This record gives sequence, C-alpha cells and structure tokens, in this order.
Amino acid sequence: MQFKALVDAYYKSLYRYAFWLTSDESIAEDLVQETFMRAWRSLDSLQNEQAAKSWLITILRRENARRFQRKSLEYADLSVDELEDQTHSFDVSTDVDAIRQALYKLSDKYREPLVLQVVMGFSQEEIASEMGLPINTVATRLRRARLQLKELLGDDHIKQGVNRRGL
Amino acid sequence: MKCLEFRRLALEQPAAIPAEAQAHIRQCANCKQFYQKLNTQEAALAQALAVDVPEDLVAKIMLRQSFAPEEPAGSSAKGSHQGVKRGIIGFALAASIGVLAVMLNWLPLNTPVYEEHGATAELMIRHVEDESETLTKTELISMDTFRKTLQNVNLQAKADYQGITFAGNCIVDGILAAHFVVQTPEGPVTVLLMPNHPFHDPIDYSDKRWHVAMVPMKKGSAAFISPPGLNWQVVKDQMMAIVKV
Repeated sequence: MQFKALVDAYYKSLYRYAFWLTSDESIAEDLVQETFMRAWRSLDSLQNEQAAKSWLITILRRENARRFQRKSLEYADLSVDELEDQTHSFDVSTDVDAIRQALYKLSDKYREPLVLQVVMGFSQEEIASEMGLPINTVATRLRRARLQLKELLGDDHIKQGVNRRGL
Repeated sequence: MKCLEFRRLALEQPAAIPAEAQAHIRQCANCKQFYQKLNTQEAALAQALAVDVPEDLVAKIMLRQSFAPEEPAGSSAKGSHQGVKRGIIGFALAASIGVLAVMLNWLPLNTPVYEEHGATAELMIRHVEDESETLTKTELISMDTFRKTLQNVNLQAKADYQGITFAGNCIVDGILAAHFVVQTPEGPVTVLLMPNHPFHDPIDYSDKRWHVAMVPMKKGSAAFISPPGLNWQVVKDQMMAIVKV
C-alpha cells in the first residue's frame, strides 16, 4: 500500500481516536505523526491492506503506552475545566459540546471502546482483540458507556427504559 | 426476542443490530421509540467525537516521512527520496562531527551569543513548521507572484527565479517577510527575506531536523531553512543575485 494513500485514508480517524485517548490536541497530533513514522518504517510488514486500520491502532496504542513509560507527560492531572479550554477551536452546537464534556468524564475503560466503535468503525470482536479483552467485557463496556453518557447528559429516557429491566 | 435482549444489543452496537432485533422493533412500539431515540443520540455522539483535525497534519506527516532515514525494505511504497537520503547521510556526518566537537569543547554551547542565535534560529524553524504545508507543494508559482511578494516588502526582482513552489508574505518575529520555498533535488529550502529585520551576526545553526542560516542583506537579513546536509548555499547565491534590496 502506498504510504500517502495510507495517510489519506486514516489520518482523520486516527487523530480523533488519539484525541479522545489523550484529551489533548498536541499530544494527539504527536501520536499520529509518530504512528505514521513507525508505520512507514515497517510498511513492508503490512501484508494485508484490510488489516491496516487495526495495525495503525496497535502502533498508536503502543506509542501512547510509551508516553507513560517515559513519564514525561502529566495531562492526567488536568481537570475537566482545564480540558474544556482546549476545545476552544471546536465549532459545535451546545448539544455536541455537552456530549464532549460528558465524554471527558467517562472513564477510559468505557470511552476507548466507544471511540474505537464509533470513530474507527471497529466491530466488538476487533475491539476485544485490540484491547485484549473478552468480547463479553467489550459488550458490557459499550453498553455502560452509552448508559453513563445518558446519565451525564441528564437525558434519562434511555436510562430509565433499560434500568428498570436490569441492564 | 424479548425487550431486555433487544435493548442490550442496541446499546452494544446501535449501528448494526441483527435481523432478529430489527424484527422485534417492528412488533414493539416501546422498543421502536427507544431505538429511534438511541439512534438520534448516536448521531450526536458521532458528531461530538469528530473533533476538528489540524489542517496541516498530513503535510507534517509527509514532511517527517521525507526526512526519515529509514525506508521500507521493498520498493513498492517508496517515493523518490534519493536526494533526501543523500542529505541525511550528510546530516549524519555533520552530526557526528558536531558531537565530537562538543566533546572536545570546540563549540561554546553555553555562551550567551550562541543561546541568542539558537533562539532566533528556533523562531525561524517554528515558522517553517507552523507552515509546513508550504514545503509539500509541487506546482511552480508564477514569476508575477514572485515579484509581487517581493514588492510587498519593498524588494525587487532583477530576474526570474525558477523552482519556487511557494510565495507569500507573513509575519516573522513581528516583522513582515517575503517567504519562499525553493525545491532542490535534495529537498525544499525555505527562504525568508526580511529587509526590516535587524542583522547582528551570521547564524549557522543545526538541530536534528533543520539547518538555519541567517545572512545579511544590504538592508535587513535573510534566513535559509533546510533539512540538515542540504546545499542551501546554491539557493542563497542565486536568490541574493536576483533580489535587489
């Protein structure tokens, strides 16, 4: 696969995944750049173009893990209010902004599979494989992610409908 | 299918509920309403997750890739980077010499003059990186654009200059500059002509990714920013010969 074609196909979704993984625009940008550099260096190992998306996500997740090993970044100490300042460039409606604030408040274990599903278009099987989790756990996290979002948004029409039934 | 099972499935993957679940909502008004609301909110969620992507991200990636010293083993994915490769080899040699020089205290790295030069050079680098998309343009600009860009900073062209792929006026260090990108076989050279920028001392600065040279013009200064190891002097000589200050 041509490198430029790979970049064109995936840079947007990778950036968005990285952004929601890190909650930081500049770290997300660095992660995406580094991911593609590593992809470039081992492009010949990509035998199957269908696997490119998962391959890139794997590289990005490893690169993100390396950040913590280096202990050079402390974004996790940022409050939600501080994170809010980083969204100044978003041109969004109030609804979208409210959802973003709710997404910041979701715990990582719920937000990441949700982002992989909605942004990257991953199936539950692919998420399970990528995150090293049983598929049932992924399903539960996706369900709870959506329920928590509704709760955080104060929109309880879905939450009420399912909680009565023990979801 | 029971309502409980339907709602579980819907919350796990609203965009792809199985046929059995689709059959359920045709029969159950409550679940149909639940699913409609879920889909509305799923659309809003997708919109919320789609944060703006930096416009120059692809340019930055391609720029870094063009400087990358390692290439895939096969040839199918490669571009034509032989010139850049030569530049990298030159950079590696220069870096080795630089390390040796530092070890031997040949370079006065801690002197105030060096620090000031480094800060000025980094300012130039930052400008180039902020506008990194300019480096990846391949179409030559017209000589009319070249002349107008010079005129905007009170400079004139004595002759045409071939090989320019970007021209624009921008603010560098608070001063209006003429910004050009000249493509060479070894890579792009960014030229910043700043007739109102004070010139103090020549700067010859390198870091891992960039070389910056600042030279005097009759009035003000000119900066040449390029990948390390690239023969920027050719561009400097030609530009200085053509531009009338």
